[in-house]
Amino acid sequence: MWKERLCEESLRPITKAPMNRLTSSTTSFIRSLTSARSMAALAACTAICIGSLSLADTQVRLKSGQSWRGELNSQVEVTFKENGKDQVVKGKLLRADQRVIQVERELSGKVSTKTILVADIVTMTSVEGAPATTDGAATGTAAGTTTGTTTAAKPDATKPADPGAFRGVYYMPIKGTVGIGMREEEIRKIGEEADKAGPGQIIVLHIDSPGGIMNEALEIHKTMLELRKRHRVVAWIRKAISAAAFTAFHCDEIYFESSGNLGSMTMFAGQTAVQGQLLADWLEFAGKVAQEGGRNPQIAQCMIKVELELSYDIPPGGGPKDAIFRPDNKGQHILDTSKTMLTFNATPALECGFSDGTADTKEDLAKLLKIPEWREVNDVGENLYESWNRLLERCGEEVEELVYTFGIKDAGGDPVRAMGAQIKTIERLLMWYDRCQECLIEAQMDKGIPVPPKEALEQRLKQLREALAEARRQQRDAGRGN
Amino acid sequence: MKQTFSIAASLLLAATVSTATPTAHAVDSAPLPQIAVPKVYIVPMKGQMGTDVEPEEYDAIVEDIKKVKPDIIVIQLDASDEDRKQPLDLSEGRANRAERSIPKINEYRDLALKFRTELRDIPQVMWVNDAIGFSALMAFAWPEMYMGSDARIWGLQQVTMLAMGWEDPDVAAKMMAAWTAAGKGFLELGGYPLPLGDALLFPDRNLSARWEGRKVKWTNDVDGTWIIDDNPKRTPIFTAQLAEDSGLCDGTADSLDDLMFILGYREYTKIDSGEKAIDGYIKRWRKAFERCEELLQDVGDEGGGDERALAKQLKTWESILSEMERYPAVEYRLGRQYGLNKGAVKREIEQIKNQLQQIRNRERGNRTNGGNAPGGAGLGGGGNRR
Repeated sequence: MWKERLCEESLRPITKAPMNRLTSSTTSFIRSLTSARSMAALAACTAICIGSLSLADTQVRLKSGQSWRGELNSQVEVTFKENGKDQVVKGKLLRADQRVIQVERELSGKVSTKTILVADIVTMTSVEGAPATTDGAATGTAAGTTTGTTTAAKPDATKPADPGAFRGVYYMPIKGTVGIGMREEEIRKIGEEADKAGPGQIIVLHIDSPGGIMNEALEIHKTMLELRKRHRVVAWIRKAISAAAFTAFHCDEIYFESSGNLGSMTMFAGQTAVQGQLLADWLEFAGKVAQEGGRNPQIAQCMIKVELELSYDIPPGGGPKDAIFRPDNKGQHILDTSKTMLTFNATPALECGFSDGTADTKEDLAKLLKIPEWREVNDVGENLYESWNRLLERCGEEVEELVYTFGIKDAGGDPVRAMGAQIKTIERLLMWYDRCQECLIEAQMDKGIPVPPKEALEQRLKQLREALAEARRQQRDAGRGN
Repeated sequence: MKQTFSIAASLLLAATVSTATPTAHAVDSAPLPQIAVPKVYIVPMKGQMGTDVEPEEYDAIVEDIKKVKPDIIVIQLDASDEDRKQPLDLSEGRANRAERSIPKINEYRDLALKFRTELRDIPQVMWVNDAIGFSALMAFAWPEMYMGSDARIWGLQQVTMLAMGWEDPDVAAKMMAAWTAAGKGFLELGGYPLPLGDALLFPDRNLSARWEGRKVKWTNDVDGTWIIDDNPKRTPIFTAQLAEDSGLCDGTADSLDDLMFILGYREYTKIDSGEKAIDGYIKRWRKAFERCEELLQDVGDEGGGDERALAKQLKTWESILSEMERYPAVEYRLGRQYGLNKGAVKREIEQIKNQLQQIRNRERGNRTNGGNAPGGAGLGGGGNRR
């Protein structure tokens, strides 16, 4: 029994009680994000999310500060640095994310794929479109042109930060169950703190979470999409399982600690994984989030469904970021078989390009982030985390005592006094329900404390107040009789 | 401690160690200092993982190390779920189940990380005297590993057992992947290759090793020079001999003198403040636990509902609660062996207080003596959560 208990305790993926309550809303929400066809009523929401995931408008931000916009599969001409010399490649753009592009070209009658680091690109133009501008002025967003960025640029992860302009990072540890210790609220607040310094700040989320409640993950999803528009958002992984892994997929960059692990995103209720349309929607949704973050969607999907396979090849002369994934086990490097659920450790994640690096200290992370030094702008992130966790701890201790001593405390004397004690206990529990509902969920999930539902407490409180009033009336009557 | 090393053998080993390049360790490890008489700080991790080896207790050790600034840290790991005195029984393991290691994997990870990151400028050596159970995870969290000549490191099946009990194939795979990734994280921290981790975790994975130049290559097959494990029903067991032959550990040493000699030091200064602190802690919590066991016996014997007996019971429960709050190890063991937790004890205390109140009210001739008090009805469930 202890094994099961600890299993639940430490993984806490989604337990029966919250999930039963959450399943219907989760279903509709995911459908709203993924199946615009069948969920016309939620079209507005769908449009936002699907729109952001669309590949019709692909953007490559160049080192020069300019950016290219166009469509995948269009013809491009790219000038880039290789071994200190400018090289030119023309061909079909197969892939483009913030770190690498891949161009399919024909050489001596043979088709090959050239992978180019965005950092090495000098110019990039569409063959049928306008040439790249060199002055950085915005030239519109017509497909296939290189443009000056029209929104405030996020720092380019591929080049060192300007030491003069570097203010520091906004660092926040996020630990515990998603929806309890790790919440959307703190992520939103650290974003608001970074906003005070304008767009383009670096936010580092140090994630140590066994997963949690899906509804909260979906709230985090919305917040992260917004946050990433304004800032460079970095995940630093100690542990990111299930909903926490899903959160990490939203980040611009993902770094691991040596002992870090990320994956296992199967959604389940009670003892059973979701199936049918909800599973299909979840696979699609998670894949799109991965893709939007510049990662292969199959990676996310292999973290959800056991039968899915994944392997990859590194083209000759290529590196981890050139990895070409395939949904079977025929590649050079097998990541996931039909009997396993994909969960990355640091080394495999780095070798296939999923991870951007491995760092065990903030100083090491600073080097990977290409910032001059590890410097935190302020301690708001730490404070947000600590104050919330202090509240959780305080609430947990008090709730445990309230529940276990209810009906016993002060029950040895005057019945009026005993009822007063019970009322006080229920009022405290209801106060905690209002102030920190997450804590009551944790008390049930984590410690097995039988906290009654809020409605039951409110009903009991009403009964007790009536009984107390009656008892006092009887005492008064008895007093008059005497 | 027995000395198994002749000087010649020691010198040979020392030479080997000094010229060998470390295996592919991912995490940087500070090089050993080039000084004649290094200060060596001993960090014992011995006894039951989770109680004797209570991660929080090591916070003070880390601070002490920062203050003392030793030249080398030796982590002395001697934590086994299998009693040497008992016959080897893989299915049952340690005879005394109460002494089996506690699966606080995240806390152990944080403990290892604390040493490896906060003290990264000081060279650290893992010296395994025995590692069976969750302690084996710790053995792999440091890249420099030495073993006592009769030391053992067993596989990590305890980790996979945490993921058992799920019938749905996707959920079962999810749990297995999550737990085993956490387990393999320790090997990553120590820089050991993941095929070794897979074999240690999954009984059906083979394991063999071969030298490639000066490096050992581990593979999940039986094609290597050393076949470590080809039994599909169990995970590998490393004796010190096997570990040394296959390059898993960097050498064997039965005493600190031996270890320091292998590391290249004829003299050293031992700093034992960490040993003293940990030994003191272990003695204190175990004494507290024994006292709680005696108190539980007493409270069972303290029959009768008179005021004096109740007052004594109250005092007994309050003492137990006090020890539980003082030592998480006491709380854990009382839970594991007696099904007690703090909530249950607090409830017991409140009930006794009520009974005492009722007696006192009666004695005072109070008419509202509590007999009709609406007490006793809890909010649901008992206190036993273990």
